[in-house]
Amino acid sequence: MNIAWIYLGEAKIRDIEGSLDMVYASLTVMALSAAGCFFIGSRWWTKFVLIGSIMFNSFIIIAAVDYSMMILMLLPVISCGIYYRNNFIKATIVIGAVLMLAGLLINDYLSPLMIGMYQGMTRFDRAISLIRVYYIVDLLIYLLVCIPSYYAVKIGIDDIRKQSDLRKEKIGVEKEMSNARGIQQGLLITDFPCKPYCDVSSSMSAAMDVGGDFYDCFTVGDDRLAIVVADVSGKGLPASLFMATSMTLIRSNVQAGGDLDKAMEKANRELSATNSMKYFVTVWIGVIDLRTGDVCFVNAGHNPPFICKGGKYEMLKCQPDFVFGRKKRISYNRQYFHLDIGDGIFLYTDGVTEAARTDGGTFGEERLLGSLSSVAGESPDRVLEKVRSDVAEFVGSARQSDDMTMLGLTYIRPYDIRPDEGIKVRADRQGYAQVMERIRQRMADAGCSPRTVTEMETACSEIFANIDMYAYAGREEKGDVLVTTDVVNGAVRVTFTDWGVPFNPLARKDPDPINSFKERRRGGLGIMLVKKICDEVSYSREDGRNILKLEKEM
Amino acid sequence: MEIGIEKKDGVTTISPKGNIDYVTAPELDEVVERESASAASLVFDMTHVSYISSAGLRSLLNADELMEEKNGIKLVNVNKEVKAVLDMTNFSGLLKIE
Repeated sequence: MNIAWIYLGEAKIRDIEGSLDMVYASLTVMALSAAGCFFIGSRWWTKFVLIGSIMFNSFIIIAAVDYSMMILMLLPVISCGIYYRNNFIKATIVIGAVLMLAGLLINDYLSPLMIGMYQGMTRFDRAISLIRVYYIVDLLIYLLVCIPSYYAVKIGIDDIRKQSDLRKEKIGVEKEMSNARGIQQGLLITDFPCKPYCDVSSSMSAAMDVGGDFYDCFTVGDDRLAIVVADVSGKGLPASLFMATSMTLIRSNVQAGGDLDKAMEKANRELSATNSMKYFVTVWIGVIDLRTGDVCFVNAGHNPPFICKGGKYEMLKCQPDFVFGRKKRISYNRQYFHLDIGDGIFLYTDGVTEAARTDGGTFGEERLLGSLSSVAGESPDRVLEKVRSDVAEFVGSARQSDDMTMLGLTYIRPYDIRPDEGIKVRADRQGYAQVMERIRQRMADAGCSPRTVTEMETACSEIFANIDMYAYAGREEKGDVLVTTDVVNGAVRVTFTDWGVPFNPLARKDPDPINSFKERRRGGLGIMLVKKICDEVSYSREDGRNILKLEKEM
Repeated sequence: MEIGIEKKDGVTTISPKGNIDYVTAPELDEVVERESASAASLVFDMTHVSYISSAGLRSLLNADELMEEKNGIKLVNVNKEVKAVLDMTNFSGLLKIE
C-alpha cells in the first residue's frame, strides 16, 4: 500500500513498505552478526563485523529517513549528555518515543488527507492501524539510532570524567612533590656555621623533583667543623625520605662527640636497623680541627674528594669502606690529612663525574680535575660555579639523569680563641669603658663582622647599665662585675657575673610597642633590645651571683 | 662625649660623636635642654654615632617632648646599626628620620 505523506509543509514521498523491508533487512544483519559473535566468541575480526553491520545499518537508516529528521530525533538524547546521568538519558529515550508517537498521531488526526483516507473507521481502529502499519517504522528507526548514541555519549562522558579525575590526582601529587622539595631544600643549610674560619659553598641540583643526594656542614664542639657529602641509592620520594633520616642520624651521632669512626658505626647501626627498603648511602664525612687544620675522615663507599694543597688540586687518596646504612656490623676506618691556611677541599657526588652527553660520553674525573685546577686557590663560590658551568657546557642539551651535589671549602684562619679568663671591674663608669673595650677587642679577634660587633656592643651596654644601676643599688661602694667573651659553636657568648642583689632583668615584661612614649620611659626598653639583638639570653642565680649570658651567631 | 652644635635660621643641629649609652646620654640631655629653649627645631646629625642604647633612646624621647610645641625633632644620617635599634623598638615609626 502506498501512502502519500505530507511532512511539515515539505512535500515528501516515502515508500513505507520499502522502508519496512530495509529496516527488517538491517535488523537481520545486526542480529546475525550479534549471534555470530555470541556463538563464536570474540575474535580479532569481530570488531570488523560489528563495525561493518553498524555501517550497513546506518546506511539503510540514512536511505530510509531524511537525515535532518534523525538529528531531530537524537537532539534530546545527545543534549542530555551534558548533564550526564544514566537514568536521565534512558528516561529521555522513553519519553522521546512516547512523545514522537503522540506527535505523529495528533498530526495525522489533523491532516485533512488522513481524515479523508480513514473515513468509515472508528477512532480507535484508525489509531491502531496507523501505529501498526506506519508508526512502527519510525519507532524502530528512533530506537536504532538512540541506543548507539546513548552508548557513545556514555563512553565519552565516562572517559572525560576519568581524565579529569586523573588530572586532579596528578595536580595533587605534583603539589605534594613540590612541598617535599621545599622541605628537602630546607634541610640543606646555606648559612654555614664556620665563618670566619672556613669559607664554604655548596650546591645540590636534583634530577627529579626531590633527590637522594645531600650535603651537610655543622660544628662539633667549639673548635671542630664537620662536612658531609652523600648519595642515596635511588631517586625520587623514597630516596629523599631515606636521605632525611641518614642526614639526621649522622649529624646527631657525630655531634655527640667521640671518635669519628665509632660515631659513624653507631649511626650506621641505627640506620640499618630501620632500613626496610634495602636502600644504602655512600658518605664522605670529614671533621676539621679548626685549631690545627687536621682533618679526620671516614669514607663509606663514596667518590674520593679533591683537595687543594699549596694551590694545586689532587685527588685525596682514601681507603673506601663499605656503604652506609645497609649492614649493621660494619667497621669504619679513621683516616687523616692536613689542611694549611688557604688549602681547600672539593666534595662531590657521582652526578658530577657521570654527567653524560647525548652520545654517552661522561664528564669524568680528569675533566673535573682540569676544571678545578683552572680555578685553584679561588673562593669556593667561584670553584663551584666553574665546575657547574663546565659540566653544563659538556652535557649540552642532554637531560640530567642523576642528582648533582658539590661542596667546596677553604680553610681561611685557625680558631685561636682560648677560653677567656675574663675581666673583673668595678660596676661603674670607668669599669664600663674597660669592659666595652675588651668585648670589642675579643669579638674583632674572633672574626665577627663589624655589624655583629656593634649590635653586641649595644646589648652589652644595656646589661652593664642595668648592673650599675640595680645590682649594687643603695650601697656606698659599687661591687664587681666579671665579663668573659667566648666563641662557642659559631656564636659569640658574653657572660656577665655580679655579686649584687638577685635581679633577673629577663623577668620584666617588655614594654608594649603600641603604647605611648611615656609608657616606654618606665623602662624595660633596654632588655627588650637585648632580647631582640641576641639569639639567646639566659639568667641564673648561683652562689650569691647573678649570671647573665648573651649569645649571638657570628 | 663631644657634641657639636650648629645654629642656622632657628634650626639647631646637634651632632654627638661616639656612642650614646647610659654614660653619655645625660650629657646629651643637658645639651638638648639648653638648646631646646631657643631653637625653633632640633636636628640630630647621627653621622658619628655608631650605636645607641635605650638610655640614648630616652634622650631622643625627651627632646621630642620638649620640642612638641615647636617643630619637633628630626634625625639625619642614621647608620644601619642605629636604624636597626630604632626599628626594633618601634621608634622609627614615631620619630622623623631622614
